[in-house]
Amino acid sequence: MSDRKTELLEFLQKELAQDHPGVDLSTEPLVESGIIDSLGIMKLVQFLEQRYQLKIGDQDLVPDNFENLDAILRLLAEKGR
Amino acid sequence: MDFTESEEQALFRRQIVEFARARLNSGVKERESSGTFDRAGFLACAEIGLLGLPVPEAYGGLGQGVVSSMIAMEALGYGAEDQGLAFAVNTQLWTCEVPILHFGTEAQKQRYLPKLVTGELIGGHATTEPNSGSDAYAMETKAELKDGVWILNGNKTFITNAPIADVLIIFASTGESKGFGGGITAFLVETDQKGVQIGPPLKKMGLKTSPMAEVHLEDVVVPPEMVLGKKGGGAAIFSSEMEWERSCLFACHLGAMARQLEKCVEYAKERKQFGQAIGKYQAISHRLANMKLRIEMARPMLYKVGWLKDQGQRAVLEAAIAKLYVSEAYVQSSLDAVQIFGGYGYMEEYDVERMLRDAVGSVLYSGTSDIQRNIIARWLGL
Ligand SMILES: Cc1cc2nc3c(=O)[nH]c(=O)nc-3n(C[C@H](O)[C@H](O)[C@H](O)COP(=O)(O)OP(=O)(O)OC[C@H]3O[C@@H](n4cnc5c(N)ncnc54)[C@H](O)[C@@H]3O)c2cc1C
Repeated sequence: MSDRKTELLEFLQKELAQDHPGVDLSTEPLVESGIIDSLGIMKLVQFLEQRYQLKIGDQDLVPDNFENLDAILRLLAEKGR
Repeated sequence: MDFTESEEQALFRRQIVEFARARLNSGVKERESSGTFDRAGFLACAEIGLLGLPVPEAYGGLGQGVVSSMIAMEALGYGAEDQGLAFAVNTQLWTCEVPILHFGTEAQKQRYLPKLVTGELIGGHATTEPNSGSDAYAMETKAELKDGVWILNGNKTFITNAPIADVLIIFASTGESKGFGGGITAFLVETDQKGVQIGPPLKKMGLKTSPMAEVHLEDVVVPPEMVLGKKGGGAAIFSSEMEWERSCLFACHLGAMARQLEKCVEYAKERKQFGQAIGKYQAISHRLANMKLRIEMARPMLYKVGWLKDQGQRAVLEAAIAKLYVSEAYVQSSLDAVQIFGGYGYMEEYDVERMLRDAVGSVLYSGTSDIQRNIIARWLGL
């Protein structure tokens, strides 16, 4: 597993998915399941921006870009990281 | 972090205070009792540039950053006794102009910004509904795509500026399911469009000169070019608006608190009981000291948000902290002011009770105090 994927899974587990024990976050639909909600997305974006030194525009904060781990990794790749 | 005011900012602050005192304060009491919006005052605010603070010069604005905009709003709150008018100005700026500026297409910016800046157009935003307030994304207003256009249906309530608005940013659900995940989208809707009905002005506890109404939408046709931002991007627009509002509108309240304190200090020096000025009694002077303390605590909290935003950083947590603190401080200081004025504070003549009524809304709009605490708790990992 890539470092970034591991870091992301750790962040999701620790910060956003405490109420979802036993869920496989690498495949779970994160928005549909409520793990990422309107506040969670802001927390996650702040983490991504600080951790990977990138800027995610407000225009990119649509649920589609966060629907699962792969979508988030795709967004990071698009942002050049 | 450096909030030192430049000479230019200090001059602008003084100009706005003088402007507000000269142009916005006469007849406030009468307007408050009749619930009348001061359109001439609104246009005067446009004339000195307040309605274009953050808007680039290309669209007729002043192109100011967040901290400079906050300084201007603090000055407005300090100089203007008509806090309803200041509220209408803030609504137009942070919940209509700023989202169009940050999320709009060039055509949308050209269509609306220049006229919003001059006050020729009045705007606002509509999120709240009868069944969805704090739980904003549980909204029932729906937008459905039919034959290439969006059809909006639903009811919005507590919409500031609605009775006088020309354009509103309407948030609607565009997904299969309700809530954030389902997808919320923002639409630019003009109030003279077919199917848009603005209810009668709502009567409120305070901010009576700021008009508010319900907005009913029945089969309102919105062409795709009037979608603001992306489909499903409404939540991000709303969050961005709230960061601006929680800093700049509350800077205006900070200014009002400073004016309130001066009024109370003056009264405490003049009013004599038991042979001396009431300010000599520790019960009164400590109350005044606490009012001062709240102002001094609030200022750096607020300007930190502005500074972060000017650096291009997100400030969700900081904006929640500042909003929560300033609003609760504003209400507490307004109660203290009534107490300091005694029975006179309860009478309309002295304006102190109006300040209290105006202040109470601040712990409700832009997310209630409970919601701000929820945000802070989420950031603590709870
Ligand atoms: C002066 C004023 C101007 C406004 N202008 C606008 C406008 O221009 N546009 C617009 O869209 N809206 C506007 N609003 C509406 C405002 O945003 C809502 O009133 C606010 O979000 C609260 O929603 P509600 O009134 O439905 O209260 P509710 O959400 O029903 O809340 C009732 C109580 O329950 C508490 N509560 C709710 N959920 C939770 C929770 N999860 N945890 C803890 N406590 C909770 C609240 O804090 C509150 O004390 C305005 C309101 C006011 C007062």
